[in-house]
Amino acid sequence: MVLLLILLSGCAPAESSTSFALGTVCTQSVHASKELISKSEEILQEADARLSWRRIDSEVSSINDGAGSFVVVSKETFELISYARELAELTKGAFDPTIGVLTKAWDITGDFRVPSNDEIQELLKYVDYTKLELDISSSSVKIQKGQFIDLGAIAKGWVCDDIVEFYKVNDVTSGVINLGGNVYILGEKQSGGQYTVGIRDPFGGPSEYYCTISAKDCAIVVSGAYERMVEKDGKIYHHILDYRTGYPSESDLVSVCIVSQNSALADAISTAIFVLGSEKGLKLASELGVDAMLMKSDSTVIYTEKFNEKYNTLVV
Amino acid sequence: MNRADVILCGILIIVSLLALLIPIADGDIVTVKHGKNIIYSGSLFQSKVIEIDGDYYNKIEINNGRVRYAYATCPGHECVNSGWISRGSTACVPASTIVTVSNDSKAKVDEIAG
Repeated sequence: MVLLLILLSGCAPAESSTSFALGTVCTQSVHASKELISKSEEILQEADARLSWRRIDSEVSSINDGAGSFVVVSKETFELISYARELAELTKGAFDPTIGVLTKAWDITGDFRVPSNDEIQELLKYVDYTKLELDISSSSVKIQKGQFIDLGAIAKGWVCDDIVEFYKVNDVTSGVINLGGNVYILGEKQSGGQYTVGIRDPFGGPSEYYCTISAKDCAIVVSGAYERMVEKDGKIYHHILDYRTGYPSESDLVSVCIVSQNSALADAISTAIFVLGSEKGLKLASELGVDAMLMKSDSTVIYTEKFNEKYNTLVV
Repeated sequence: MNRADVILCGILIIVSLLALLIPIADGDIVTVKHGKNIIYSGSLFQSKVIEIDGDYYNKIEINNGRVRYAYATCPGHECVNSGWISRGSTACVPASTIVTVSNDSKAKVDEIAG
């Protein structure tokens, strides 16, 4: 009887949830109560309502509609845009929220079309984070007329950090959060040992991975050209746009994996490195002190220093 | 140990051996969600077509151990281009549908990033 009780009293299973927000599928498997998971879903949906440029009533749409004037936004949105601008400076524009003017023109995940080269050259004039003005005293943001911001390359990471913070405050210590492939590992498994995350194979399907990483308390964010792409007239167009050309990036990278305790940083930097390519990208990762694993188009994989030692990577 | 104990032990040993010898039926389950609602849940090892009519039309095909979006009217058709899966999940974000294969006992990873 004692043995039976021991067997039955094992660790409670993780609660899971799936929802659609920030233009992607968001899943969680966390050792928390249903109420806490429900609250975290509210954080997600509330962020989506504020940050999506596709929603006409979002704060980001207010900024875009009010281009040329300061627009008051919530403290949360102001902080995110401030951080996005900071990262744009650190990456010298390789990540730039004002690339939205081109995101909208291509609309890869919506009403896709190939803009003319003249149109792209014209729109490139508006991709300039230095024209993004912030007034902390009034929590307001101003972009220049013609500019358009898109926080798609940082919002998932930022919201993931918010959810992790929410769980930590509520003493939740174990679980995995996945916002459209941006994964955060919270603590360790309740049954013991680290969680293992597969890094998607850029040449395979959505459930195939080329390597695994075992870690705890960190974000694992991957940018790849295989996500959000369309084919037209035999040519593939993906969603990561190059701030220098206005076209989908044609760098030598097919997958960029960043591991960091800061999910927003990992999100934005993975995009920047993808655009910059292997040489400049690896240099940027080292300068910023983030851990990166990059796969080139010839399938070779390169790493920042000590990446393998830190994260128990296993190529499969 | 009396006679009843011996019989009980014998039964337990036989049941344990049978459990080892009889192959366990494959438990892979396909779950299809539309928004928050589960609209289908069943074995991965069958031939079946599931159709969903919402903002966009989805045709999901289960075929003996794998599942895919066979056709969709969403922009981009990323779901269809993703092809077959036999583990993990695939989704049509514009249609708010997600197809998940649950086979935890065989899973080697807890999540896939990317």
